[in-house]
Amino acid sequence: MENNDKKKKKRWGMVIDLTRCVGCQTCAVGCKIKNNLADGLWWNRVITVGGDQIDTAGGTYEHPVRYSIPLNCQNCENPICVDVCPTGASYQREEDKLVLIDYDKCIGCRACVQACPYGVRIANTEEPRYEHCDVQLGEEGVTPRYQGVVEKCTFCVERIDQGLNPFCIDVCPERARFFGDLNDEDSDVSQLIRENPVETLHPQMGTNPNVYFIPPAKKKTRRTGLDFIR
Amino acid sequence: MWTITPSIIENERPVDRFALHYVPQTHWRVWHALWFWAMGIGSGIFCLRQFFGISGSGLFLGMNAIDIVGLVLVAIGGLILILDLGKPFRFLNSLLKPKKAWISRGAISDFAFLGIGVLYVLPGLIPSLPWSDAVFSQADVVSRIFIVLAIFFAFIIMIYPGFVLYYSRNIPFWNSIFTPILFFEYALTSSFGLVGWMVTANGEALPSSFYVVFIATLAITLVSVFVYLFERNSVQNPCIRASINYLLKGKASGWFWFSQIVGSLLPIAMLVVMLTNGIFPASSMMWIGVCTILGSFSFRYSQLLAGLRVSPLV
Repeated sequence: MENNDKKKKKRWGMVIDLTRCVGCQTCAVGCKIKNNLADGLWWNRVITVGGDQIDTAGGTYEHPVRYSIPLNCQNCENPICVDVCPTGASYQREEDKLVLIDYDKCIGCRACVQACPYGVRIANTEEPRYEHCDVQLGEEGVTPRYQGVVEKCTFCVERIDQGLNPFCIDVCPERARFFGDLNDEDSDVSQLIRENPVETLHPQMGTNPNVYFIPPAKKKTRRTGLDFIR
Repeated sequence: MWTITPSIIENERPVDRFALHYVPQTHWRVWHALWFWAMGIGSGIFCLRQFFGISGSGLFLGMNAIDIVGLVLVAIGGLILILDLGKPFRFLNSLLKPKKAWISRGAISDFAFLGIGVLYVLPGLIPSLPWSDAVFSQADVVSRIFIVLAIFFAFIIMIYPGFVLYYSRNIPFWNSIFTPILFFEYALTSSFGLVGWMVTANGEALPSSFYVVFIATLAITLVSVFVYLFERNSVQNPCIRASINYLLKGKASGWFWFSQIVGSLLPIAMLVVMLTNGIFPASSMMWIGVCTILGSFSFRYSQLLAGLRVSPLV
């Protein structure tokens, strides 16, 4: 995350190594706890690719297919959600182009939910409920959850501003998630993108997502798990 | 890398969000269809009265009934929109970004149309005002300015819901330029139906050009729907194909076929018979009005129902 090039603006991005992700949902639950997300709300989901149900395989008996893909806001360079927002509540932060939501401006029209091709925005239509937990969770600095507004992953903006990683990066037990400045050539994420055949979701939409995926079975073998232990 | 074919599930459970499916969108349903419908008719009948120079549709408190119904319908549509927001009391925020967001453009047009429309009809209630509420061909300069501005904003009101859907990239079925075109066409057909109903119910006659343009609009709309479906089907996108199946054979099919048969085919047949005989009974015009108005609503609702969300991977 350290960036020596002060002149260049930061462009935060993630690389998610699907060869390592085991679908344990730790990042999803960690995100939920850290951001004090109400029942039924997930900013970060680990989706099973394969069968119709979570953690089931698809394909054929001889050639089963099953892998997991963590899905959170892709923090696009050209975010459609920002364009369609009639209030300016969805915006890109000037200094690093992070896509954020101003909950005090949002009117809950859900145009951004319908516009996001990744389905990662959530309309908080009901009063937030916490039936399975009787204590207030969430890190200091996390905004309270409101009814009637749209929410999404913020890349843990409060932590980034303190020089920390997003929570999902730190809690991933498989070290499958990497975060850093895509404009810094020496960052982990830039190196991973250079050295691996990374892909983004829905590239045809022209959104230029800042979340890259190393597809299963496409990762170069040079790196080992130990390379990334921090 | 993403070689899967998701299935469609009707009622998504929370756990289903952790697997890949096509799911009908649930954010915009019947209230949005009502909003699109009311605003489309309201702005449409205002325009038609001006284009055909219709003045014999009855008065309400001295003001032209078509204009009043139009303004009331647009106001109702706006109210539905506001009440459907997550934060209704912040609705004025929706006016802030007209450069990029169609909702913003539409909201500004709603308010502008209502403001200008009220000013235009006011001389019927307060005759001492220095302009008239006559139709364009007989109006003074001030009224003509009001009419031109109101028609401009009415046009935006008719097309903007279509553009809101067009830019909903999570629903690829809507991402066609035909979406706003069809919304405009359905606004017109239902407006023709309502104007015809109101004028003939008041014992007045409409110019024959009205009926000819009415039939032409219905026929163009009917053809446009199938061109739209053909165009959507030609895009190699499994989610769009699933949406089309859902529209033609699935849960949305009843609403869709109702809009085509009752909303377009039946009125065309009735109008052709009436034009051939040269008689336009008020009772028939009432039924044509009802059919086109219901058809306009059911088409919009079927479009919303058939909006399947794209999988993040496919």
